[in-house]
Amino acid sequence: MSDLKQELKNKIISQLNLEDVAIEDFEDSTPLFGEGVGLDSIDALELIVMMDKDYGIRLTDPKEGRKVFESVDVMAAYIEEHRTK
Amino acid sequence: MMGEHGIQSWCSISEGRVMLNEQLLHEAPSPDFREVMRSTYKALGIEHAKFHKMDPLSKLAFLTAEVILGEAKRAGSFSQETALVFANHSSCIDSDRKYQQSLDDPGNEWPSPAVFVYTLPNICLGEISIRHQLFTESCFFIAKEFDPATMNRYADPLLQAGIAQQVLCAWVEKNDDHYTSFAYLLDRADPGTARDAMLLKTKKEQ
Repeated sequence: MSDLKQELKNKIISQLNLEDVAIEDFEDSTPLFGEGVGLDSIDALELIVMMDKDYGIRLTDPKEGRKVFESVDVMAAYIEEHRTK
Repeated sequence: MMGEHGIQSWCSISEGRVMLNEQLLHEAPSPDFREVMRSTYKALGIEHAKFHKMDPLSKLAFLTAEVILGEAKRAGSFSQETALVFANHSSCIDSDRKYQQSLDDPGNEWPSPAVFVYTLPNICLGEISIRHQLFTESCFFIAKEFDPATMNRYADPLLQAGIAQQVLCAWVEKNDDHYTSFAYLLDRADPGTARDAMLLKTKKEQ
């Protein structure tokens, strides 16, 4: 699980071009949106694409997406449970 | 005389050099576009996380505006009633190419939304408006070459009618390895001078 969390942090930083953010800058429980890492709605779309492409998870309900992307902790748990690849 | 309104200040970013009112503000370690953007961002002491997510054209336009509007803020002459009149030749071709490549990739079912949002050149005006809280007129022309007469024809009525107190006019061109920007800030209160006309003529001929 901790490997997956590390992998997710790396992907979030590289795929969302967070050049000013280092892995150490956010905890597994840090909120990804709002005052946490500061992601926005376009980033949410990128994360939806990433979930589909890399883990075979299709998120179609925006409310579900909001919960899943709450933090790296929540994302990792959701991926472990639902991944198809 | 160049027209009704004078140039308060001007700046340019080209060949690794950032100029403000004929003075070298910053010189990047290399003229490579990414290096110029990165080092200029740091040199200007900007803290705006969204910058790193922007496409190349928006980065160039954003930093160009940052130099000239930052100077206006320091001088106490900045107005939120600043309109934006921008132009270039290649539109947002870098982002268009990148997006087309992602569409052409058979293994990529979902092209990147973050690339798609920059497949319009006027998006850079939105980035500048958000940064400086501008709620004004803006337009982005695609033209064969930098033509200050056309830009001033659009800017002057905005100033004359009091729709804007200032107009930031800029040529921001980015296509593959080539990049250049030149911006000037027209002020409602300043009369145009022969020096302004000469400056624009010189930049047009470069």
